[in-house]
Amino acid sequence: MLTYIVRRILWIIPVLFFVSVITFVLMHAVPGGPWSREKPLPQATIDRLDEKYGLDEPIVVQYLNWVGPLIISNGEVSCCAGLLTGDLGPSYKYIDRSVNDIIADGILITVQLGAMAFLLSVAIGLPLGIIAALGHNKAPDYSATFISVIGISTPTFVSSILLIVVFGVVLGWLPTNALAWEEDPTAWILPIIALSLYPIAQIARYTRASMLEVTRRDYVRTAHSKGLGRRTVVIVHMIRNALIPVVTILGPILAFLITGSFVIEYIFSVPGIGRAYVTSISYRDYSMIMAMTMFYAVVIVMLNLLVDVLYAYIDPRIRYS
Amino acid sequence: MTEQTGAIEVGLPLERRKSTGLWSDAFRRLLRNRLAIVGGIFVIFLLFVAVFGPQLAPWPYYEQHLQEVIANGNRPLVPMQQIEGVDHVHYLGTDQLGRDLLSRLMDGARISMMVALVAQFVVIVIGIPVGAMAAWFGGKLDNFLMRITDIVYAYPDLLFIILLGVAFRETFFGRAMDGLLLVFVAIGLTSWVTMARLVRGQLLSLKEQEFVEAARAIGVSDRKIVNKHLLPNATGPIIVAVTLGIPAAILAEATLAFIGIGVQDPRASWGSLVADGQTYVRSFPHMVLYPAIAIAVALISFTFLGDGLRDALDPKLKGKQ
Amino acid sequence: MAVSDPETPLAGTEVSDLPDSIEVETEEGRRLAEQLADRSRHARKLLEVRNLSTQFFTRDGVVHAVDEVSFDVDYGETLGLVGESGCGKSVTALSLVRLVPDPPGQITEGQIIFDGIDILKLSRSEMRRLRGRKIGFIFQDPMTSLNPTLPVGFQISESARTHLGLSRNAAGDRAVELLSKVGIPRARDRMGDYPHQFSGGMRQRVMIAIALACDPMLLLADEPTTALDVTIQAQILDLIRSLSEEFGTAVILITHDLGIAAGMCRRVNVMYAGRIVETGIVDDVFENSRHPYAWGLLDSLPRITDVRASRLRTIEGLPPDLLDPAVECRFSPRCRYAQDRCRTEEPELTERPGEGHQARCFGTEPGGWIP
Repeated sequence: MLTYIVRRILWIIPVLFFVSVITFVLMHAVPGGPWSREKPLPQATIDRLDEKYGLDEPIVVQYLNWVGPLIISNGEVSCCAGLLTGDLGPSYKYIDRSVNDIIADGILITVQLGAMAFLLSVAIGLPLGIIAALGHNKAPDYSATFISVIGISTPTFVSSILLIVVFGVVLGWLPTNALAWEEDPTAWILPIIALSLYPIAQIARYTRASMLEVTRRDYVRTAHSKGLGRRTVVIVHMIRNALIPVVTILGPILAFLITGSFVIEYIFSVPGIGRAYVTSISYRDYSMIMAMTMFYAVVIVMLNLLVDVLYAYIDPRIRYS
Repeated sequence: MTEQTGAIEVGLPLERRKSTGLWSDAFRRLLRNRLAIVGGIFVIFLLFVAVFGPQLAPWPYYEQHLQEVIANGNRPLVPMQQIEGVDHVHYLGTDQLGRDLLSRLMDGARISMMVALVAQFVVIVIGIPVGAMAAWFGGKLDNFLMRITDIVYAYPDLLFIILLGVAFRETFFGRAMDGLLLVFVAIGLTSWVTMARLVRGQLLSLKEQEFVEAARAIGVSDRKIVNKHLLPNATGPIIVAVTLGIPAAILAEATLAFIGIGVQDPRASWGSLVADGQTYVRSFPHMVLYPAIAIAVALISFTFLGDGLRDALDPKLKGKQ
Repeated sequence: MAVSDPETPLAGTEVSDLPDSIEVETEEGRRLAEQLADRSRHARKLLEVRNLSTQFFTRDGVVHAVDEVSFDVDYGETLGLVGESGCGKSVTALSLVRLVPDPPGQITEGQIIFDGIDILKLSRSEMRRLRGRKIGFIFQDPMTSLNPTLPVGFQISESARTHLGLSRNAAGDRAVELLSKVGIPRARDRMGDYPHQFSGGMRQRVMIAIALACDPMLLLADEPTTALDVTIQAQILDLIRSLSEEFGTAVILITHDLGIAAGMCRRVNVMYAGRIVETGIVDDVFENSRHPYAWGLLDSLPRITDVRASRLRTIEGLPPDLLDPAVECRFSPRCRYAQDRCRTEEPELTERPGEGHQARCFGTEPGGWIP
């Protein structure tokens, strides 16, 4: 298993390299450059801005400067800045703030939101799937399947709006935005629920499918032939085998929680980094868009690695091979 | 564990049960699945609306009935609202510019179906050849292609599409088809990887079978073997994957439209309709409700149909009850 | 080894009470001789199966997988259940422990008496107490029949903990004992290993250990060697034989391989299309078989005296569809001796020469047309 982990870790390097190249190329393909406005700025201003942010260097140099750690400026090499040193660069919109500052402001909130949504998704999704499978083709199955299909078929932004309307406006039970999250912790409730609807549905679906697969396996028959009780067979033999494949969707689920946070934070006005990202897109803050995209990409790649390692660990066939 | 045989032997009395091929077997199984039938009916309905929408819609999607809105006190019309002196009724109401919601919804159906087709077209055109080549030639080519898919897979989908959208938003490509072409292609570019992996997996297991060796021994060319023998056998899972990939594509387009990427005004997809209607959701919920229902119905239908196809084509069930 | 069944003649009489010799000329002697003969006939069997029928209710119709099957198994005896794929032998075994998947399968008629207990009348929890404890099952494919995510030691000790109430440690010790008894070297070290860390033959040994964990009275071995290499097959069969002898366990050995049946069993039942078509002592069935199907099976075995490159002999045709079988001898479509009667009437199992030798064929009956 160790070789597997090491290989996976080493593989991250080329992946992140390509991600950075693609991101960089895409941002520099935008016509008009980062300073174009409806009312064009004077050329002198543009030149000064270009020089300040190193945009007058050749493109390859710009890329290298972005990544770092060495900075080449007018033929001079200095150290140390750039992505590899953890420096995500400036924001073109908020002149005196760097991307690192902006992230530092909101990251805790976004992580809390995602973590709580994750826990809720697993806590509800897993049992839902198991119950559906055990009551196959009967009431529990139909209702759980119905709920999960609704869950995957309703876009997050739609369910968010509906939740706001029902619980915030009509019933008035819960606050409709999270700006006051420090004073009023109930402001968290709707965003967390809205974010976890899709993951709950997906986890339930996969768990159900996995459990049904396991039911057909020979070792379940062996367990019955040993005279074990149904509860024992389900808990000791079936669930542990069924959960292993479910781990594989944790990666996409975590990725969803991250990208889903964009929409949720936007709709509920949650002051996290997701909202900052969406804002940077509408304000064309290219430096920040690039930097945050890389940041998210790194996070997602790391999370996928974690999930792969977890999977290798819990499946004895991989762990002891 | 059934003990059925279904073959017919020359010289023996005919079996009482008629032998069936894979497709008719699967089709019968599909027809027994009520959810899949319901889904299929709605899918056909959506396709019908998509194709004949412009002819069937009461008005063009961009036509504004400003007089009626003004007469209503500068407010959008609710469904079936009758304005004095006007001889027609908007079945689903209008938006704040007096554009008929039903017509816009029908145009949105068009867009969603186009997303489905174009995105899956890209997926098929790229994914199947890549997967087939990787499986057939194996070795270095396989390795190389799989590494590329790893990289593409690692890049978070939504981020890539957003970047692509932002980068090309102002270009000709970005404005083609009211901004839709960009989104369709982008969605396809991020989803072909699962198809490639699927095809590769299928072909790898088929490749090992004896009939391939036999064909080669006779001297059938590689390309023919792949096209005539291997790929048709993989058609089942491919169809399922395409069908189940459609909800994801529609959802992606809706989410992007919601945050402002892709479709441009005055064209509206269901997602952008929700975004437009957000601000009026408390007083005029119909502007959000109907697009939301449309999205949900489309997603649910394709999901049921895809699930039904998967169950029907499951090779493990072949020949069994 | 008759048990004290009160209905048995001479119940309660010890062997030492009997006289050394019997004078059959006297009345008393004759009566005693009769009672002794009766006693061995009335002695209870470990397993008595009467008219067992198991059917599968499918969308296309009812499949008669097992059709009115009857047989006995004595305490400590090894019985063979022989037939090709699809003849119903596995379903029979599963029916004995009520493990037939329901839906779509169901035991529709018959009686199964195990050690005096009517199996079909037991409640689910009573049945569970029998499984593993009194009846052990060995399945065909050890790779898929063992749970890949649990250590082997745990899987063996599970039944001991459940049925015998042993503590975790005691059950663990017992598992180590069993592992070494089935021939796994360094048993204690390997207790924590997972199934994929064993070879095919060793996995089957683990399955045997699991089946014998609670010292059952009956072992159901469903094609225990089919998934293994030929070289390993002999080892596993020897293991089964020696263990069953040592513990006095009766064995029902299910196989399609006549050679295996011949080597392991005292009596054998040949099944075809859900019915028993021939039964008897192994020697009789093999050397003096009285059913065309069995002839076909025996004939199809390649022999060392065969001329090289000659074709293998097969039985023409395919087994019948078990959906609503017609009233006829089920083998008649493939039988070269079939006559009109075979196609309109189904034969019963009737006596043939040899102890307990029966066959289901009009043609081989005394006075029939097949010599």
